Parts: sequence; C-alpha cells; structure tokens
Amino acid sequence: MTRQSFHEGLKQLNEEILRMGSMVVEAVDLSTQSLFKGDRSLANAVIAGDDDINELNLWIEGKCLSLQAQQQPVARDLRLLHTCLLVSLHLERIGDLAVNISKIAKRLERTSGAEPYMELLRKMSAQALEVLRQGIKSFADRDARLANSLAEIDEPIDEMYKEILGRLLHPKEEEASSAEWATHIALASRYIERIADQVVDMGERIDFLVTGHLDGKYFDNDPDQRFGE
Amino acid sequence: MVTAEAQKKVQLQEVNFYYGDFKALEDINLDIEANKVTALIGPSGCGKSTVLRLINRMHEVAGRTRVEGRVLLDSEDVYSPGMDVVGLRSRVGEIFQKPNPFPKTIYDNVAYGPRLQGRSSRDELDGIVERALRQAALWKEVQNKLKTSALELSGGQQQRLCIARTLAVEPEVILMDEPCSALDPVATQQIEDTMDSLKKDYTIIIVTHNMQQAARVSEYTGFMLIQETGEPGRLVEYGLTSKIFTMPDRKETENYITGRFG
Ligand SMILES: Nc1ncnc2c1ncn2[C@@H]1O[C@H](COP(=O)(O)OP(=O)(O)OP(=O)(O)O)[C@@H](O)[C@H]1O
Ligand SMILES: [Mg+2]
Repeated sequence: MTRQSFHEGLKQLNEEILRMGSMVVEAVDLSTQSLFKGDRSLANAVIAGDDDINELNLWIEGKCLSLQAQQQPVARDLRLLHTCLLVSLHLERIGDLAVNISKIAKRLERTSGAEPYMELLRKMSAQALEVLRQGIKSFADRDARLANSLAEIDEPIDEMYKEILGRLLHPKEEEASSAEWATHIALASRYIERIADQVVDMGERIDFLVTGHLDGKYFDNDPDQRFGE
Repeated sequence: MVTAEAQKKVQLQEVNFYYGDFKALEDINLDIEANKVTALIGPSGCGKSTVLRLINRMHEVAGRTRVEGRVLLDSEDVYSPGMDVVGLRSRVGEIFQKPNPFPKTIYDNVAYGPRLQGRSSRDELDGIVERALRQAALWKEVQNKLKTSALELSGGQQQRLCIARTLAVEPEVILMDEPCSALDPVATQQIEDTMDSLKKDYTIIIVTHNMQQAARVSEYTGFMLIQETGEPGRLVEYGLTSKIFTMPDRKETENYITGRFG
C-alpha cells in the first residue's frame, strides 16, 4: 500500500465515521418519534436499520486494523485511527440504544396520565439529539472546545432523568399506572440518558484527537514509568 | 517528563558548525540523558551525522572545520584545550552504517582497542573479548570460531562484531550512525535488542532514517531539518519519543514523521 492510498484510506475513514454519525442521528430521532407516536412500523424500521450501523462499525474497525498493520501510523494519523475506532464503537452503542427505545415503543401501553412523563421524555430526547449532533460536529470540525462542552449540554438530561425516576417512585394520584408501564418509562428515559453519556465519552476521544490530551493530561508518560504504577 | 535529577551525559549548547565556509549546523541545543537511547531523525543532509561526529571530534579528520558553542561530556567541554582527543574517542565510541571489521580474526578485531590501550595479558584480553561479545549478543554464535576471519561473518554478525569492538574499550557513550541500514530485519532486531540491553551501562545516540526504528528503540527523539537548500540544519523538536510520535509540537515534525514531505 502506498503512502498516497494510505492518506486516501484515512480520508475515507473520516467520511465513513460521518456517514455513520448521520445514520445514528436518524436512528435516535426515529426511535424517539416512534416512542411518542406509538408508531410500530417506525420502530421496526429503526430495528431493521441497525444491521447497517453494525456493519459499518465492523468495516471501520477492519479498516483501522489494516491501516495500522500496513502503515504504522504515527502522530495525527495514529490519533485519527485510534479515535475512529473508539468513536465508531460509541456510535454503534448509541445505535443499540435506539433499538432498545424502539422495542419499548412497540410495547408501551397508552395510558391516561402519561402526558407529564411524555413531555419530559420529549425534552430529554430533543436535548440528547442536540448533544449527539454537536458531538458529531466536534469530530467533523476537529473542535476540541465543542467536544469538551458536551458534558455541559448533557447536564439537563441527567436532571430530567432523575426527575422522571423520582416521579415514578412517588406518582401523583391521577398518574396511577401499571408496574409494566412504569418500568418501560424508566427504561426509555435511561436509554436516552445513556445515549447522551456515550456522546460525552466520545467527546473525550475527540479532545484527544485534536490536543493529544488523555483524560485532561498530556500524553507524555515517563519512559521508566508505566500507567498504573 | 524529564526528571530534574536525570543525568545529562552529553550537552550541546548553542552549537554552530562549519565545514570550511559552509554553515552545516545552527544553534543546536541538546541534552542527552545518561543510560537512555536518543534517536536523531530528519531528512538527508540536515546534519545528523555531523552532530554525532561533533561529540567525539571525529569531524576533525575531515579537514577545515569550526565549532562554536559548547559540547559537554559529563559537564566537561570536549573542545577545551586540555582535552585528550584519544581518550575522548575511547569514552565516546561509534558504530557506522556499514559494518567495517578489520581483515583480522574475530578475536583480534575485539582485542584491537584494548591492545592499543596497552593491555596485553592473554587472560585479561580473553576476558575482555568474551565480555564484549556477550554484550553485543554475538558470543553464542562465534565462541567456537574466534580465530576465523571476521570477514566470514554475515552482515548482521559483522555489525554486532563492530559493536563488540567498540564495547571492548568500555566507552561511556556509543554513537550509532544508521547501524542497521545494511541489515535484514532479523539482524536489525538483534541489533535493536542489543541496544536495549546496553543502555543500562551506556548512553546511546542513534541516527536512523527508519522512523519505526527510532520509535522502537529510543526514549528521546530529536528531529532535525534544513529549511532551504544551503541553509544550516537545526534541531526543530526534541523530546520524549512517545510524545513525538503521538503528539508532536511542531507541524514540520508531524509532516515528516507522517510521510507528508515537501
Ligand atoms: N566533510 C564534509 N565537508 C563538507 N561538507 C560536508 C562534509 N560532511 C557533510 N557535509 C555537509 O554538511 C551537511 C550535513 O551533512 P550530514 O552528513 O551531517 O547530514 P546527515 O543528516 O547525516 O545526512 P544523511 O541522512 O544523508 O546521512 C550536508 O549539507 C553535507 O553536504
Ligand atoms: Mg548521515
């Protein structure tokens, strides 16, 4: 493999991550819509579409491996391969969470008194989608500042998640509901919260890509010391 | 992280170097840590070999040259008038690109330096030869044929013999100028393993065009560059190898090590 085709390989990898990013945004968007509309066919479409996301993740993993094996990348090339591998894994997991949400959408009973919960879930979803879009943008733009701000955009989601759980534990009179329904709502909110968490972790990888910082520290391990010693 | 107490074995301070009127190096500042492997990388002609030669004054055999600034070995100026150049060269040994054994026996190649130093007792020389060959990871292969000609050895064995010849005079610093460029991957790996085991006793500076080799063998890496043809070479970046190959500070370094030349 020539150096030229190596650089093309890196470009392709970058593009495929972005393509995977839009697939995952769509999956999250549609899965939450299916939840709110009770739309089974939409939910099924998300579940079916997850295969493509998984396949793309595998392709990216294989590409990262072969480029490393054949080109011994260093510096920004090394950081890009390392980051793509991990970002791809985060995106794949977000895809799985969208599938989980879709499965709940198919089973969720429509009960009276659900509206306050649905309202919170809608807000959570919108915010989670925003975190996800910004996370992918920070990768596309190599924007470390944006990548590091994701935790902040994630905060209201954690708040809403706690609010939903609290409400489920101490329901108001008119909200009396089945245990099954309550479990579904708790899980749905948990999945949405997890999506945003995955993006926040992804942001740390993007920070590394741009700055070489690992967990806020500079990558300069002493040659005589090993991590964890 | 360069620890404060780490010992600086060799130091170049504000060094300029001239071959006749040609300024080959400008403002080189370089602290070489004791008992570490330091790699110098950079494009052809940037002055890597010149830096090595400066340290044991080998350039002086090349004709009219001039050094400005200070070159220190254990804080002592290598260019001070009192410096004993022969003694300097036995403290700072070197290994060249092509193995260059003398057309003598394996034994005589290794014993050559010690004999020059006036050691002539058979027992002492036997001991020195065995120790040096063991350190150079060649003993097992040649112990039964010490009296055969060095020229009958393979290229990789010859290079390890040259390392043994250098080690026999117990230098403190070993300069290696592209020591593996004429060797196959197996011999290269043997030399690299040898370097790794040597660094507890020696300070090693290696010039290599093989960036993967620099990444593999060294703890510190210096990247040198000439900006334009005819200009002097400079040290663009110097630091931990793990850092340079993951997150170099300078764009020029990154472009060079990632193969984005010109
Ligand atoms: N004996 C000499 N007389 C005059 N100029 C010399 C001499 N040796 C080297 N030079 C010049 O000094 C500069 C640096 O040479 P040097 O051999 O140190 O480079 P290098 O980095 O080791 O290159 P390479 O990777 O090709 O071995 C070059 O421009 C070279 O032409
Ligand atoms: Mg050279």
